Amino acid sequence: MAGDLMNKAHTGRNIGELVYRRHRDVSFTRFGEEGLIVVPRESWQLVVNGVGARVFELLDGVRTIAEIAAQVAEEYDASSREIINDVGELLVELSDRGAAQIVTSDQ
Amino acid sequence: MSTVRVSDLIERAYDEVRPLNAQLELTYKCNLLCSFCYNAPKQLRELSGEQWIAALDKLQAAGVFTVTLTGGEPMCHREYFDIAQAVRDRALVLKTYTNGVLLADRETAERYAALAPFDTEISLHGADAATHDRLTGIGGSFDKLLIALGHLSDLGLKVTLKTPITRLNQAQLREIEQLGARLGYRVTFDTNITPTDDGDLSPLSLAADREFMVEFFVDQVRRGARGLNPRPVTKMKQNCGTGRVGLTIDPYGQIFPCVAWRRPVANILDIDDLAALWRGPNETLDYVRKVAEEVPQTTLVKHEEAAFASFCPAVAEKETGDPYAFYEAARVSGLTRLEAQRRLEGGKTALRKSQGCRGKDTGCALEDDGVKDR
Ligand SMILES: C[S@@+](CC[C@H](N)C(=O)[O-])C[C@H]1O[C@@H](n2cnc3c(N)ncnc32)[C@H](O)[C@@H]1O
Ligand code: SF4
Repeated sequence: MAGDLMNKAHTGRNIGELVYRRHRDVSFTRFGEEGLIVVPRESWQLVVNGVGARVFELLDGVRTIAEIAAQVAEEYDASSREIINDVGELLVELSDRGAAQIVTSDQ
Repeated sequence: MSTVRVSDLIERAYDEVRPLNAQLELTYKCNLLCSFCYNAPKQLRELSGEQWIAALDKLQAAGVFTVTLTGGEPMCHREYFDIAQAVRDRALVLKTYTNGVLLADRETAERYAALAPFDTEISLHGADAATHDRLTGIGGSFDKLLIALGHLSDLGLKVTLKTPITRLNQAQLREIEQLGARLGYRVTFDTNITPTDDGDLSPLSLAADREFMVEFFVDQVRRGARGLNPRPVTKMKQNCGTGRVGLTIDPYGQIFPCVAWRRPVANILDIDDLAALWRGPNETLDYVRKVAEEVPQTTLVKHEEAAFASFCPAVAEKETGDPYAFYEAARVSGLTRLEAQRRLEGGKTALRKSQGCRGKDTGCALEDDGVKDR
């Protein structure tokens, strides 16, 4: 499970407590529900569904993943638990590509 | 995260009439003198850096996502780096079309790499200095380009080398490819030499000869290229995306429906709401969109070779005065591929007689990858 994968991956903390931010080089645009993320240094593009697009928009370096999941769950009328798994999966991919990074407490 | 592909999103942009890509011709100034160059500068004041940056906000509000800086030589705009930085500050995707000369300076190359461009398309006209410099008209341009490519390769930048095929470099295409490969860069060959933007047909005299082009296509397919991909003319909804998914702005601020079709839509300095202009009724846009939609069923269906042809209504208009005319260069582009296909299938050679090759179209009805700008 991606959520479990992410759990304690870097910090020993639960994913819900982590704070991520988008990398400043990354481009993003909406096409209605879907979103397109472009990472120029990797020449990489990813199409994300509505939930993924909303999560990406909310990765502001301030909100925790749990807070983002709760907000998206409310907007999409879904459970936070389901959303947090999606978020975990997306963040694994985005981190691998350098599109998002964890904000550590000393940043 | 989604089963939707990037190509589906582009199709959606087409249906929604969203100008996803903007090609900005920052300046017509240039440090080279290519004899075949399609630019047609006028005695008008070019936009300042500040004006281009203000234009970026209008473009983004209208849905633009990719900004290609071109020219002339875009790096000859005094404020190129401010404009490019403004593109990135808005989280837009940055591309540059350049002759590479100014990137021979290491500091400039580093400054450029720091912008995190998505792609940099650099023109390479020959495998040696004699050929490249003959086409660019400036001695030393090849050596500078090689230095620049070395810097960009060191800096890990994605570069696509672009070679318009001409009579003068047609014998060197393999060597050009090998040169690119040594640097780790792919070379794309442009098979279309186009008229200038004000309709001068003289660049077409440099187009590669016809028998050469047939052999070129045969060779490409034998070496594993994607094939000659005839277009399904009877099913095509449109010839190209002119006036829909992209736009071009010249150094004076004139907005055009695409890089080839120089019918002005408006001046970016005069409008506040580009989205309203692009989506609302507009005589020029309505006209070019109508032509692009009608061309497959009015013009292309009538010619067997049209499925293989690079047809551009803007070039048709420049060459004949009629955007629906199946002009000579389009015909030759179709016939050469059709002939190549026949040779590949082992069939009889059947090149029809024509009035001689004058070149081909501008490539917005893309042969290779759907949206190839020049
Ligand atoms: C006008 S240039 C601008 C960017 C830059 N100065 C350069 O040369 O790459 C854009 C591209 O168009 C190509 N080009 C110029 N004139 C052409 C013509 N008449 N037909 C086909 N391609 C042309 C150039 O080789 C270059 O790859
Ligand atoms: S093709 Fe490019 S480099 Fe050559 S003259 Fe035109 S703008 Fe300059």
